[in-house]
Amino acid sequence: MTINEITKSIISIVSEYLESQGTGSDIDVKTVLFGKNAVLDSMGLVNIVIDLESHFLDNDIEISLTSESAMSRKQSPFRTIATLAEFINEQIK
Amino acid sequence: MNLDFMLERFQSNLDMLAIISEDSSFTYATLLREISKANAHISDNVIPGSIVAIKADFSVESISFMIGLIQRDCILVPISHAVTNIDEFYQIAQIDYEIDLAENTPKILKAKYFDETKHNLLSKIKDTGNPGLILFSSGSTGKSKAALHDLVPMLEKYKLQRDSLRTISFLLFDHIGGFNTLFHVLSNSGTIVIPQVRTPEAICSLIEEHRVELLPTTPSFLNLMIISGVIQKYDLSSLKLITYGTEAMSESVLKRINQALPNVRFKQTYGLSELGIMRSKSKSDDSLWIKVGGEGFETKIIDDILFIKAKSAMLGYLNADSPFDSEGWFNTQDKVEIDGEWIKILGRVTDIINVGGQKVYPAEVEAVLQQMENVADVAVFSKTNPFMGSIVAARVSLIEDESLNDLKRRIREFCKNRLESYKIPAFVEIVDGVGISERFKKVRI
Repeated sequence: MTINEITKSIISIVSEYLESQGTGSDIDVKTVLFGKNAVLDSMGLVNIVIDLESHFLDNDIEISLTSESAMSRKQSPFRTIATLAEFINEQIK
Repeated sequence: MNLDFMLERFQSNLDMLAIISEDSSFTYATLLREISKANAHISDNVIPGSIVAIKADFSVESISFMIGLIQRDCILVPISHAVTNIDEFYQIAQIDYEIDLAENTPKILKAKYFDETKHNLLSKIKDTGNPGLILFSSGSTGKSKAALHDLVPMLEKYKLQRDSLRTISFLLFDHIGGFNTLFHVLSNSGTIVIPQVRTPEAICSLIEEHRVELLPTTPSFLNLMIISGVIQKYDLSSLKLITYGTEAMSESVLKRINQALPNVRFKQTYGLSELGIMRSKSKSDDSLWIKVGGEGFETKIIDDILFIKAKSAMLGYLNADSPFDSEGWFNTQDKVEIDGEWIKILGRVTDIINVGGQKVYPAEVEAVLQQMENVADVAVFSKTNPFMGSIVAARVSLIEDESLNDLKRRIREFCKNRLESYKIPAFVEIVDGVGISERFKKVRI
């Protein structure tokens, strides 16, 4: 899976989630997911992470976005779509 | 001695039907003969005052042995087919004998704990010479606790004669509700109908065939009755009353069962293995508001938690510390809402899911999900999560196939305006049947 494909998956999952919340907006790689001016609140992030993990598992790729290493990074991998895609890409390499 | 009042009533109603089991009916005269037979076995093999496990389900024989053992001041340990860790239970109850009624002739065996020095609560009740009862609590989560009761205060309430309806012994032989059904019906010269299988189909067919009037059951089983679609297939016109308890009822299930059975009255019961069954009254057939109490019970509510003081309370646990405070109050761990003299049970504090410090009752979420289309049943439970500590998780069984993604999307949309965001299940899985235990309670692990 290329980083582009990963990014696409994240965008589609995030859009779908926001749509179900009635807060749909344009999403691109620079969209801030979590933190200041973010599109997600903490429950939103929890949902997205679970959805992403099960999406990749459906494609026989096991990732853990909530491992010790993810949680303890200086730069949060959950900041933007791009950082999250990067983080997943590292995991499946 | 302790059951003289009941046996006298049997004597004055010899021709009345006491028990219907499979294709046989037993009058009170036959029941008395069966009790004499059981007594003969007991007096040959059991020292009075012993701790005796009866491995059985409801039957004329098991009921006769139960009565016989109480007459000989024994401490009963009923063990139904739902118990999987029998050896552990025997060890905790330190049984002296095991009675196995699975074969044609009853087998009474001396147990390996016969010579053991007993737990001080067991020694204490043995010293008083009163008969006792050990019930294992079956929480939806956690470990079973063994509650030891003195049967003398527990049997007291059956002395006052009341009406009795023809009743299915749905709740199991080793459950406080099953024990209560049995003693209530027999001490009021009513008729017990014993089910061999506890499926919606079998129970409805039994109601039709024997003109059953009362079904004491659980919310999970009522939901099974609705989704299995069997209610319309049988003539259930004899049914007057359905009582439900042992777990939280959801408003939508209660509404649907009321619609399916408009001529039946519905009453919520409230009881605990530690305290016995209280008298209760539902505000209306489709209301979750109840009044609980009755003679021998006092209640108080502190910080929305229900506390009960009961004359029929157990002596204590055999495998845990005493849960009573110095004045004898028992913390039920049940969170309630109050409206004047009415209360509504929201659920066990111990089942609460703590989502980042916010509290969620599984029953509240289940009640919402249960209203969704294509949802047959749902169990909500806690799942650990690195961000929030715990999150709300839901196990859903569907009526028709649907993808997990579609279901999740529908859940989010449906719940959006009905639940706060932290209460909406973040984790969802589809299962063939939601876990319902042999006791027809939802499994929340």
